[in-house]
Amino acid sequence: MTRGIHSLGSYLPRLRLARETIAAQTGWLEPAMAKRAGGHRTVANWDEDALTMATAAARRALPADASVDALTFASTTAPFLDRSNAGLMGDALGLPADVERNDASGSQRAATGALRRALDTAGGTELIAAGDRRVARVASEAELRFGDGAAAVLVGPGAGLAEYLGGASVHQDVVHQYRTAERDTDYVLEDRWVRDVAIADVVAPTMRKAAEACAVALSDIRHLILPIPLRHARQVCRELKLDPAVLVNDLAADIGETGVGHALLQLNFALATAQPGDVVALAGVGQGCDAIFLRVTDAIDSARPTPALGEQINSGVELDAYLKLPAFSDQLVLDRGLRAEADKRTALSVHARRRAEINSMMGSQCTRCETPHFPRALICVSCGSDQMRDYGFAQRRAHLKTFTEDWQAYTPAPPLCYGNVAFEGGGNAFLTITDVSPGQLKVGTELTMAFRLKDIDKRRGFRRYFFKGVPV
Amino acid sequence: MSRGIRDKVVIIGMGCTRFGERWDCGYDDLIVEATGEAFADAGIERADIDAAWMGVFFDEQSLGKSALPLSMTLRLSHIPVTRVENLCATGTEALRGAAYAVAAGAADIALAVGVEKLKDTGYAGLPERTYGSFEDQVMPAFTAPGAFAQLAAAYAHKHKVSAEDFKQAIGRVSWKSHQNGSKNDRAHLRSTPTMEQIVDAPMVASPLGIYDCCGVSDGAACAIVTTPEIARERGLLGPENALVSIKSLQLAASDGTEMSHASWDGTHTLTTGAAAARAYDEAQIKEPLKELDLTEVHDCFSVTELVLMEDLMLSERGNAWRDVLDGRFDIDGALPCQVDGGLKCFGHPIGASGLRMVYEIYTQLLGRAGDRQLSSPSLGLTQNLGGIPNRNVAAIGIFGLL
Repeated sequence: MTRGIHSLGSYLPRLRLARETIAAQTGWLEPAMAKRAGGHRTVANWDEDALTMATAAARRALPADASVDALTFASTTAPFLDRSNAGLMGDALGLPADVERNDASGSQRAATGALRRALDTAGGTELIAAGDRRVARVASEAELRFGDGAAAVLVGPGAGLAEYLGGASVHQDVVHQYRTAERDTDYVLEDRWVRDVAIADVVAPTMRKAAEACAVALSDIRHLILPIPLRHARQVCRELKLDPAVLVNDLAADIGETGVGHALLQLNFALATAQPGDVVALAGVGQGCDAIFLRVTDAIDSARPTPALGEQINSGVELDAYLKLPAFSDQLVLDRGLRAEADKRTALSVHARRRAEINSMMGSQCTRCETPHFPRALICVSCGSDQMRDYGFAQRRAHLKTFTEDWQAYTPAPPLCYGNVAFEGGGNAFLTITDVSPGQLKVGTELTMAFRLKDIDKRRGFRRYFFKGVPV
Repeated sequence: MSRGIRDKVVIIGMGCTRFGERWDCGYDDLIVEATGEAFADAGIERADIDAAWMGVFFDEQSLGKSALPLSMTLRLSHIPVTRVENLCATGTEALRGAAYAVAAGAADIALAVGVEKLKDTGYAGLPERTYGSFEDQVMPAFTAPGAFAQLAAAYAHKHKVSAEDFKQAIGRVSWKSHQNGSKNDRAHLRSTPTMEQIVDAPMVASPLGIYDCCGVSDGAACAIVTTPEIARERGLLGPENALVSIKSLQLAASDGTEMSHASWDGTHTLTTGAAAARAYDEAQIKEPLKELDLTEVHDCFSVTELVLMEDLMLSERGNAWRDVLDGRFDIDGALPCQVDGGLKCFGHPIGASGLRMVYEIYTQLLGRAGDRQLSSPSLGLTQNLGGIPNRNVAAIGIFGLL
């Protein structure tokens, strides 16, 4: 039984923050740490979280004609503790209701564990999407080190673009970092102990075990993916007697540590340039280690991930204000004004009744004159017919008919942008536009639809999601 | 088309409070202030009213639901009193209810009151509200300025007007209204900002700056209507020995085309054009630009007034911005608009605005407008746009001397 990775994708939020900009504001607390701060980290917009970013990556990983039997969403920062996050993601991706949907969580190995199970288990296709929005305390070392992002892979029968050779997993309850339900930020232990015990004791041995299991010589590894700090990764290389040149970019300089999805993000980076025949070894690290060995196939040349991660790294928009980082991740108490007091209670029975529209942006199309409608219409606006069929809008391109940048409306990141939007193939909708720079919007600006946070109801701890236009 | 109600109903009395931040007033004070003036003007008593309509939009903010706030405030004993609400067309809807009752013979004398007490929220701008249990889950959390600002980008793009020229044109709309409003002691805002102050003001929702937006205020206005026959029989012709007649009342509601269809380009309001065509027909007006003497239109935002001039067929499509800059709608222009200062200077207590507009037409037709009196006007138009450009209710009234 041959299984492999058939497609993959990644998603980086648009915003970037230079670590020097962070250090300029927080460095007075620990000048030595500030002095080391270099490069950039990614910053999720206020309306992004682990679920939305992983959904965006999943969409990129999912070929238009793909059939999926199962979906796993791996994250330790999924928005809901008790509501199927993967279920909602499946809806946002437009997957049929009978596609199995699983949430994977509990450790930094949530994604690599799910990936290994999917590769090891005979069966159909499984989409694994992983991402985190890691919250860090203001002025913490983690605030500099972390980044936001997500990645996804589609696993299925056949070698695909990277054939699964074998793997191994070892558990070791060494708690070098943890987070409990009582806290929203990680508790991290001394770095030297992390290197010597949490990593050295387990990563190299698991790699050896996996190499033996699939009868590959360690020296055959061309791309070694270790989602750990570079200085620790170099030590693993020494232990495995590998040239550090095989280490895949740890993405620290341009993105930061993105959590559960990081190894898959690095895999995206490696497969942008890997050649047929190359062996890729990928690890997940956290209370033990997962090791997965893959061999790149000839299919890679026609199946490189798009847009490439490198392209996304280079297309970010620099944040000039450090405070947006803690503000967007709710680490600051800001005066939001009286308008922010408006109640955001969600009528969940309405949501249930109209969930195809809200979760999937499913509209309707007149069966007589083919006019598409969003929201769904009961009676056609063009011909008056009451015969409708489903018509999805989430994957369609659109352009702006009208727009504004509204400084009066409440939004966590003013101005609120919105406009009347015309879809290719027909149908209009009045939509929020996000990821916009001031002055960027024009009549005719091209948009894609992105699944985003619509509102956060702090009083009830609820989050509403819907689609927004994002300029192409 | 129906024959309509042209000249079947006359207005025998009107009242209008001073509009503004009436910290001293509740809705009941406003109702008494406006109706007191109207009863005195008409020369009748409260007991002469056979039926009444009350218009209020934000009932949650001040007076609660139903028409009881009107009937109980005025002690209208056990007569039919009805509350109406149709967004910013609410005041005109109240008048429509009263006028239709009189035209139908169901009431001899009817009262229409529009009232709104907005300034009890504690913050600037309109009160926050829900857009509906489903809409809140998919629609942008839009504001009124943001929703109307949509017209600007689309209009300027379609008619190839530069951003600078367009900003000047909408600024000129507000400049003109401020000039007029400064002469009106019932207006909320009486300052006369310069074009530079208007154009350079802080942005509210691009390209609308603070001076492109009407104020938020408290106020009430009302009308007492009857038939011309009853007015003559009972000697209710007033000191001018003249009757102001309703020539037309028309309403047009969106069918959803704007929000769902590419056939709407976002540069104007579909409903106003439809209501205007019917209103001119009902009033037997062939050439509105020539025949009308003044208009009061829904200038909730400067850009709204500008595009409405085209929807009302008072400017050619794509030319309103030039006509505005040329002064066509100034007080000394071909067709003065917002002679009283408009929503721009009165603010927009939503339920009251439609009747406040009628009050100015009535005042002008009777020659009572003092410093801002036009020379012998005989025909005036009011227009409200309830809602936002992509889904709305347009209401039009045409009034003339009988």
